[in-house]
Amino acid sequence: MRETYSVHLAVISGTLIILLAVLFAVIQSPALFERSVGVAATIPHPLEGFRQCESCHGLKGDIPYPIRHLGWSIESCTRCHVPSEYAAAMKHNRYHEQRSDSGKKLIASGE
Amino acid sequence: MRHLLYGTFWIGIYLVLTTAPIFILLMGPSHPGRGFWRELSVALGFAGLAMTGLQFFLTGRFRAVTLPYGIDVVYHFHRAISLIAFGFIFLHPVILVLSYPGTVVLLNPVITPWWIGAGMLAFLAFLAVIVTSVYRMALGLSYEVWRVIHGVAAVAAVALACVHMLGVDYYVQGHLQRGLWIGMALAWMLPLGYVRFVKPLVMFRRPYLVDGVIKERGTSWSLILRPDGHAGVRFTPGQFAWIRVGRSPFSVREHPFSFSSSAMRADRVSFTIKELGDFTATIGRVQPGARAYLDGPHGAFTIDRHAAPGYVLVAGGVGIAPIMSMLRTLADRKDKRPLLLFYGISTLDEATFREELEDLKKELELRIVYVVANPSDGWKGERGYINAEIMARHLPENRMELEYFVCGPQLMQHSVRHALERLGIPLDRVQSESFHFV
Repeated sequence: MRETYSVHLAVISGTLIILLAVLFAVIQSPALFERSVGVAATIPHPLEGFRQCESCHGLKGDIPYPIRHLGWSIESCTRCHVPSEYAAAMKHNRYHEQRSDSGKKLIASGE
Repeated sequence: MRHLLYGTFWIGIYLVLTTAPIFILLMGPSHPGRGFWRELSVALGFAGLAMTGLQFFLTGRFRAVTLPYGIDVVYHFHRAISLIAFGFIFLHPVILVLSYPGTVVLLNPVITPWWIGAGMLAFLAFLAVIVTSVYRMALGLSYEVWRVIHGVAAVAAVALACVHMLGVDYYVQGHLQRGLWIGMALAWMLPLGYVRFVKPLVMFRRPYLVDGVIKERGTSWSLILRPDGHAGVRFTPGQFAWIRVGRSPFSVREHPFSFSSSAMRADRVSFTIKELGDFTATIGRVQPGARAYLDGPHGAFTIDRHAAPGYVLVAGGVGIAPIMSMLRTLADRKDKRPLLLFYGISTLDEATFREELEDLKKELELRIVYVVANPSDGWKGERGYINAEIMARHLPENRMELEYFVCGPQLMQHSVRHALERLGIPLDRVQSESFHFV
C-alpha cells in the first residue's frame, strides 16, 4: 500500500508536468491557432526593379510556383505574398475563401 | 495533522521545483517558437533534467522530508519518478526525430556537434542508472557495486545533460536563465556532497563500539552497540538505522537494520539481524570493540506516531526485531495497554526472543499467538501462515479501535494486509514498511 501510494504520487506529478510541457509548447506555437488557409510565404526580395512574378516563378521559370496555384492571375500574387519587410504589419491579416461559379479563390479580409 | 501538512508542503515544493524550469524557459529574451512538437520535446527534456537533479534530494535522507511519509515512501517515490523522468528524457530526442526526420543525422556520433554528443552520453548514463537498478539481481550486481554505479552514472547523466543544454544554447542565452540553470545544477549536487562528505564526517565524530554479538534463535544475531564519547541517538520504537561495522563512515557498505532495543535506552542499542545475505552472514564474526557508525534513526514505523487504546503486532521472521523494540520500550514505560502479538515462524525452536517474549508477558498485558508453519507433532497452537481466520479467532472485540503494526517478508506483509482488509480493519490503521527497492 505504501509503495502504491508512492507510485500514485509519482504518476500524478508526471501528469502535471506533461500538461505543463504541452502548455509551454502551445504558448510557443501561436501558429497553431492561426487560421491556416495556406498562410502565404513572404517575399524575400523587394519588388521594385523586378519584372512580373511569372518571369521567375511561372511554371517554366527558375523557381516555379506550386501546381495548386495553376490558373491564378498574375495580379493575385501580391494579394497573398508580401515582401518580408511588411510581413509584421500584415501578419494579422486573415484570408478567406470565396466561392463562386468559377471556383474558389483567396480574398484578403476587408476586401 | 502536522504530518499531513508537512507532507503536502513537500509535495508542493517538489512540483514547484520540477515545473519551474519550464517557466524559466519563458523568461528573458523572447524566443520564437520552432513548432509545437519541437517545443514539446524541449520542454520534456528540461523537465526530465530537473526531475533527475531533484533525485539527489529525495535520497539525501533528510529527516524533514522523510518524516511526514516515512523514508520508505520517499524511496519508492524516488524509484517511480525516476522511471517517469527517464520517459521524458527518452521522448525528448524521439519526438524531435519523428517530427523533423532530418535531425536523425545528429545521432551519428562521428559528425554530430559536441553538445549533441554530450546529450547522447547523458542519455546512456541515465539508461545505465535505470537498467542496473531495475535488473540489479538479474545482472548479478552486489549492492555495493550497484551503489557505486548508481552514484557515478547519476552524476554523469546530470552533468552531461547540463553540458548539452548549455551547448544547444537556445533557451539559456540570457544571463538570468543561464545563471539560474547553473545555480540549480550546483544546488542538485549539494545533497550528494552532504551525504558523501558532511554526514560521514559527523558520523566519524560520533562512533559506536560493538559491545557484544549475541546468538539468537532462528539464525539471527543481536549486535549490541554503545556510543563512544557521546550520548547516543534518540529513536522511537520501530525505527531503523543504516549501520557500517568495521568500516569507515565514508564507505558505501552500509545496511539498514531495525533497532531491537528499548527506545528508553540510548546508551546501549541493539540490532537483531538474520543471516540472509553476504553481509548478514558475517555478523556472527564481528568482534567486540569493533567500530561502527550509525546513520539514523529513520522510519515512520513506530507506535509513538499512532496513539491507540491497544496494539496488534504482527511479525514474521526477522520482522520481530522492531516489534521487540516496541515491546521492550512499552515494558520500560510500564505501559499497561493490551497488546496482541501474532508471530509467524517456521518452527517454535526458531522463534527469535522466545524466552524473553514469555518474560515480557509478566510485565505487559501481552498475548502471544505463535503461528508455526512447520510444527512438531505435539503442537496444539495455530499452524500454517498468519491469515484472516487465525487473526479472527484471537482479535479482541474492540479490534476496530486498535493500531496494527506488520513487519516481515514482503509477501507476508501483503498477505496480512489483505487478511486485515477482509476482517474489515480500516487500512489506515495498519502500519508497515517496505524496503524492497533494488
